[in-house]
Amino acid sequence: MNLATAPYLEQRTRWPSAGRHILAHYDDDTIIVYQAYAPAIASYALEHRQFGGSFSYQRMSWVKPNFLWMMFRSDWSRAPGQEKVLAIRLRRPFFESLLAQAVPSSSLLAAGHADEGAWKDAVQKSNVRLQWDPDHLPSGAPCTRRALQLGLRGGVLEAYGRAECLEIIDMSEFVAQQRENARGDAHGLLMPLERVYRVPDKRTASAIGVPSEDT
Amino acid sequence: MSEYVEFSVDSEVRLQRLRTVLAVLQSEKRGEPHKSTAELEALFGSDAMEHFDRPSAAARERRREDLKTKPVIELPTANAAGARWDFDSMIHGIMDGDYDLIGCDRVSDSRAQLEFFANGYPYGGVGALVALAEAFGFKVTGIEDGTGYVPVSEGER
Repeated sequence: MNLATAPYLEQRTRWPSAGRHILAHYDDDTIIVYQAYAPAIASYALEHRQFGGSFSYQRMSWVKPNFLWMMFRSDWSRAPGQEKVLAIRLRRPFFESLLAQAVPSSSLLAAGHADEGAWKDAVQKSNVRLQWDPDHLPSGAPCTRRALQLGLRGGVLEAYGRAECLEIIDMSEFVAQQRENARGDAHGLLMPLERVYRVPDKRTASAIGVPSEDT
Repeated sequence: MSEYVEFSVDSEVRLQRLRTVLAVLQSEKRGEPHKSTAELEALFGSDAMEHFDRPSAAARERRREDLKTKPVIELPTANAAGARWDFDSMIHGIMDGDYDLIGCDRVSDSRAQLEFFANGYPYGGVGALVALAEAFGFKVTGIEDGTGYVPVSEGER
């Protein structure tokens, strides 16, 4: 596992405690998103450095940039079918293009669309869905911050799964090592270094409801 | 292993209606969706449609603001105020979920499970399937969403 890590207790002091924020591990060029799979799909991805085998390109596939949400969801990789947590490194321009294309999965979140009809039309046409879910503490308890989830399908999913995944990292061993540290006050818990990702395009930031880069 | 939404069954007639709707949604999910909203609304029936929201523009705006800052469990405009899913969001939620709909079967005289198989995680969430079961008047009693069975107590939803 070659991602820079830092103690959770140290990182959380720098994170906003509420609202919509993209907490992510990123550098100047790339960003990490997470998915959890059963061993067959994960093994294929790790071996071939792209998704294939029993992975279906006919469905919508969802990704999360937030490590703790993925840990909550996979029960620290103990849940059946989620034994393999993968970190997928994407180019930032590709990730930002996903945000720019994203349409909220609920019409209640669809600010920026003229009316429900316009939202429905956008949902039908777009290959990217966006949801804001409650974020979670290391213990699994929900917190007041919200975490981004993106659903990809069609040509966007093809691009994600075959061409745009620069690196696929097996997080399973690291997750197993940190599992016990997540208990109690999470003292000693290490996790990938995450910071708030500032969306450079103001229109996109406004559409998905996050602060833009210069705010 | 598959995931499921478990609910109490107090009507075989409504269970059959739910199964009929589920069969159509399975078909729609497998291929390109081709039924219009009006056709789907007719399939659900007027009593089931009453479980879905048609919020005013003002209510929609209040909920958008809540969603920016508050966790779901504390939304004053959501469960606490009886807010419900809107129909289109529920349909899109089921169509977009990265799971296969398996079926809806009784597991005892008084309970049934709406079963699905998640292909990966995250998969888009279980809320739309809960809304589907509730639309036919069933009370959800538990959810196995891939992280372990969680009972849902009376009044929690």
